[in-house]
Amino acid sequence: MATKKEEILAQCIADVKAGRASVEDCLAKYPRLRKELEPLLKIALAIEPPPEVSPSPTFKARARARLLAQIHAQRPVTKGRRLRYISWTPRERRFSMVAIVIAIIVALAAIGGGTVYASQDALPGDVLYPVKTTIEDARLFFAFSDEAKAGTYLAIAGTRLDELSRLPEDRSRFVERLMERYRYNLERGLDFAEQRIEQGGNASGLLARFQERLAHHQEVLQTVYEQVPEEAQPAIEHAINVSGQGLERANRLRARAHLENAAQRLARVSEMAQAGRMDEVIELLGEYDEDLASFVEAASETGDVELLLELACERLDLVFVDVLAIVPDEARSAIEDARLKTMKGFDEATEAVDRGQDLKDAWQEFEVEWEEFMPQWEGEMEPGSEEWQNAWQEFEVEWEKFRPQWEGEMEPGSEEWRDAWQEFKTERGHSQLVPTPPIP
Amino acid sequence: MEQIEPAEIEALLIEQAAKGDAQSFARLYDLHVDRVYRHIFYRVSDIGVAEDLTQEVFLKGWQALHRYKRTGSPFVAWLLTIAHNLVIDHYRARKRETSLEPSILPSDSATTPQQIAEVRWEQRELERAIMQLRPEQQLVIVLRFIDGFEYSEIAALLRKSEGAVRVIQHRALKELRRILGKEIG
Repeated sequence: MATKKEEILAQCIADVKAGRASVEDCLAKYPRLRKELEPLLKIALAIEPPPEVSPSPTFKARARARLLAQIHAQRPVTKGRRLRYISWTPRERRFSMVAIVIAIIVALAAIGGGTVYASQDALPGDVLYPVKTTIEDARLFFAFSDEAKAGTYLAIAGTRLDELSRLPEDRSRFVERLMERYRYNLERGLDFAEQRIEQGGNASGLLARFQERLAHHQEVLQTVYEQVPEEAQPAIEHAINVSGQGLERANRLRARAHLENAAQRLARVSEMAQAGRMDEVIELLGEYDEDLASFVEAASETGDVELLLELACERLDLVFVDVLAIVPDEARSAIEDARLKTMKGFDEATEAVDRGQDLKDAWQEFEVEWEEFMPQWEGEMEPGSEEWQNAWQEFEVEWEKFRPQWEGEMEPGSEEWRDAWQEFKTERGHSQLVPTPPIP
Repeated sequence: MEQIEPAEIEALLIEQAAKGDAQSFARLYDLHVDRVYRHIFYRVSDIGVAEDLTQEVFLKGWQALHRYKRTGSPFVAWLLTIAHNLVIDHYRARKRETSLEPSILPSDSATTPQQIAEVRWEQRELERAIMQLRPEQQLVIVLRFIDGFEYSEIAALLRKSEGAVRVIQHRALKELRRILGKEIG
């Protein structure tokens, strides 16, 4: 949420840019903020749009023609084709589905099992290659769930790469087309993985498979790049980029998948709490913690850490609000704790990332801190109360003094580490502040 | 005869393109190619790279058109976020090589060679500093100050509240101050 300071800065920038006020007018209006506002305003006002730069007409015309050519080359992939299909009447649709199935069965029967098997090693330009791609179409057709479709597209993308690595030099004319099909299959696969997440399915395992395969694709492409003739290298370079972008997208989606798992786990917490099954509530909250850690681990592998943390914060807080509105009192405290831990953890992790720290490390540190702090107040203070906040701050100060002593030398939570913490507290006379052992 | 608003024409084109009409998408290209190119050029300062990435933006836009939702942000802003991601990938692929050849020319108010040189130097420094911001901060600063979008439009695009966008802007400006302070000091 923006504070007054941020709103004032935005208003001043707008006023000065619109000529409604001068910098001095704004600063005079908020004398107490002058010191902070002045440099920020000056920077904001110094950022000017560049002079009009336009692409050359030649480039525009060439790029337009190329865009249209690429669109036509990929036409089957577009939503448009799908929409046209969807726009058929149910009867037409049923008929067309039956027709496609019959066509595939007839085609496969006609070419025979031996041919189908032999076609598996076919390369573009081979007589049996169309058989191979027809079989792939059939596999896609019979992949009914989003997960099955995503997995099939991923496998087909891998097949295109395998073909590329085995392509003889005299068939380098197929390189660009193979790379285009690789990109298409990869993106479609990720589209279906995304759809699975959006429809509430668990996609974390599926996306882990994407990550693992894409990392392998990158290795294959690097090897191929060094082997192909020079004229084919740009296509491979493009494919390396495509694969890299696919990996980044898979990483982001995997983080989202773990986030959805966490949200769904909370919904189950709510059900168990209403049924009075407290043991299961506690167990589910433990699993929720693991979901959070998995989310953090996946998010730390993306380039959008901050964005994902904000998304997670908003998403989970909404679920907590819903859950807390209906759960019975005996479950409330455990769920409030989980909520506080989530929000505080994300806050601290965001700050740590802002400071340039790795998200995964930041989260591990936070978890240790949380485990350290929890026993102090359990049953004594209201979580989130002023007293609680003060105790947390006091703890953090002590913790910051202790941390440098063990960092890199001991495993957090190990016996050695616990002894060191105990010793530290005794030395500082803080046994009162932290009466319970650090990790129960 | 009743005049059709440009926004309505654009909405119709998007609708047609989403149904697979390549010509409608080509008209969207005509409408927005200059703006997309300018946005990218500002950030990569290389004609060849700007041209390549501009082409890629529209191809990706076509492929992802079914994911575009009318969220209150203009269509061009959606294209610019695709451009933003491609620019980030471009730098990442070049292992964050940021040797910029800034494109920004001196503003009209600079008249003498010395003034021109000073303004150019300042803009270069600023441009370099913007490139060092976190991706989301970069996007907000560029969309707001270079592309001139409203907070409400940026908020709709990023699916955040306007307040959150102002917070990112505030943090970004503070970070710019830190970077510039460090470079000068």
